[in-house]
Amino acid sequence: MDATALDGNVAAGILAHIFYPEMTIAATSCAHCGAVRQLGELVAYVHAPGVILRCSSCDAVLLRVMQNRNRMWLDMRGVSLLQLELPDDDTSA
Amino acid sequence: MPFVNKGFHGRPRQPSTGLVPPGQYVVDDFPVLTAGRTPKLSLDLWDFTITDESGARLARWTWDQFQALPSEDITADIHCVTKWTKLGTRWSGVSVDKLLSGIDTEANFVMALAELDYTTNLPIADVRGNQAWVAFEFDGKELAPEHGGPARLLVPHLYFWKSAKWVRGLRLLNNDQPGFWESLGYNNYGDPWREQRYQGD
Amino acid sequence: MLNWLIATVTATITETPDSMSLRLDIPGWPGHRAGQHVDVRLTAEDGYSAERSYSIASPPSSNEVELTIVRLDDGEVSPYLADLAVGDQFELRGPIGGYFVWNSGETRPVLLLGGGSGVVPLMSMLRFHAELRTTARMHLIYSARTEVDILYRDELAALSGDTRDVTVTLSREPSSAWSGRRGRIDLDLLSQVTNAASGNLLCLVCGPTPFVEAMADALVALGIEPNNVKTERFGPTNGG
Repeated sequence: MDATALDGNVAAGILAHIFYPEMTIAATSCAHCGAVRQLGELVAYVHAPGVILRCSSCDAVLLRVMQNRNRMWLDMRGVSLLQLELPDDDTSA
Repeated sequence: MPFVNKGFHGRPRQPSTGLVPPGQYVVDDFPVLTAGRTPKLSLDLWDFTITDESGARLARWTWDQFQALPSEDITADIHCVTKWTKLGTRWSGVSVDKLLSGIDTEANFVMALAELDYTTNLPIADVRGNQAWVAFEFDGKELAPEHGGPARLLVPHLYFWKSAKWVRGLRLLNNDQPGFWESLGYNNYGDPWREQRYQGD
Repeated sequence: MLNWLIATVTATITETPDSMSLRLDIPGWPGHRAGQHVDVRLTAEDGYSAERSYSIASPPSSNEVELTIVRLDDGEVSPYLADLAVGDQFELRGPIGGYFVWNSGETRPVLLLGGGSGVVPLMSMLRFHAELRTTARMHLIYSARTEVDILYRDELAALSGDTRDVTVTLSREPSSAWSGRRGRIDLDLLSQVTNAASGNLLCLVCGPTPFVEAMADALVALGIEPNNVKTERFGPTNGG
């Protein structure tokens, strides 16, 4: 683990622009090794103006997100499944 | 009208002058930006290869062979897409012209391949003509791992993300393909003088 | 959607020679949970901006949000924030983070491990625990450098007792006048605490990345389920 590595919490701010539910507790399935982790458990590297999230088991890139002023780019090819917790007042389905 | 904090100066920097590309700030330190853990590669295992589009190997150097090639001292200004510029940085490295000299190719593009699955694409014309090096020394010392050591690509006329850290080879391409950052929204070419930071710039 | 809000300083509190807390009035603040943080943005007149994250030190019940700033001499943001006065304003957005939180209604015993400024979000949890009068046990082990670096020292002493324990250990205190624990948080200390806990211990670890890595590894080695170890890494330095 690199001393500059952070955890997925650091991506919460930028991901809040895209996802309404709280993302640090969203669960990702790694497309490479299958490990299921909450976003907060992933390894994050901040490469301004973006964030890279890597699998804490196999180090593969799960998610890349970048923001520049009023545009964002999101690459989630490394996530085979994303599970979100909806806030309590959102149970209409 | 953006909120301004009176009295906030931020890291020491000079305003852009004619010598510095638009939107950049000159800094004295050397910030580290990374997309993964710093690779720690043994020099015994290091090699640099040039391959064609199909992956067939056209040239290869081990570290010892690489060190035996003629190298140059380069002084250059470097410009990061995150807006910092460092003037007069000093490097030593082997010119990419030298690495490509034995190779007969009609490829128009290259993809630099590096550790951590990091890639970046460039027109072949931009790594020829004394514009690109594989650098292994910075400021008279061995290039540190957090700055891309043992060797990184150095292409100072483009934004510094094109100067791939931990470079291990070049793949010659007939058709351009976007690399790691180019496929996420960074500009495909990256000319700091035209402020080509992101797609569409 | 997290918008940038304007925070106004209503009070500044000196904590240690190198740190202080800011009490903030933030119109539009939606409330927060213990352990969450905010992103702070400073913009210079030429448009240059810098962003940093700061953990919220105040518990959820407080009307005003409190941030604790450790001044780093070569930092870009912390010296500016540490020099703010009542009435000054800056931008922030939040609250951020649902992963590293401690909620009321959590009945498991909790171990909080804080390295340096990593104690800040844990303080929010400890202050919250004190207000709730819950029977769930909470133990904070806080590793600081020297005696003068101990954040919230008097308040930590006041909060201990009943269902809360606080252990402070100093790694670099030269003076023999300190009679408390010395050294880093070691396996011995951790195993005493983890063995004593009944059942399903929840661990929350915060501080510089190397500290968090070492603590998390030690807890798992002592048999704590990895799912019960939540971490928040501050990187190689604590922000700046």
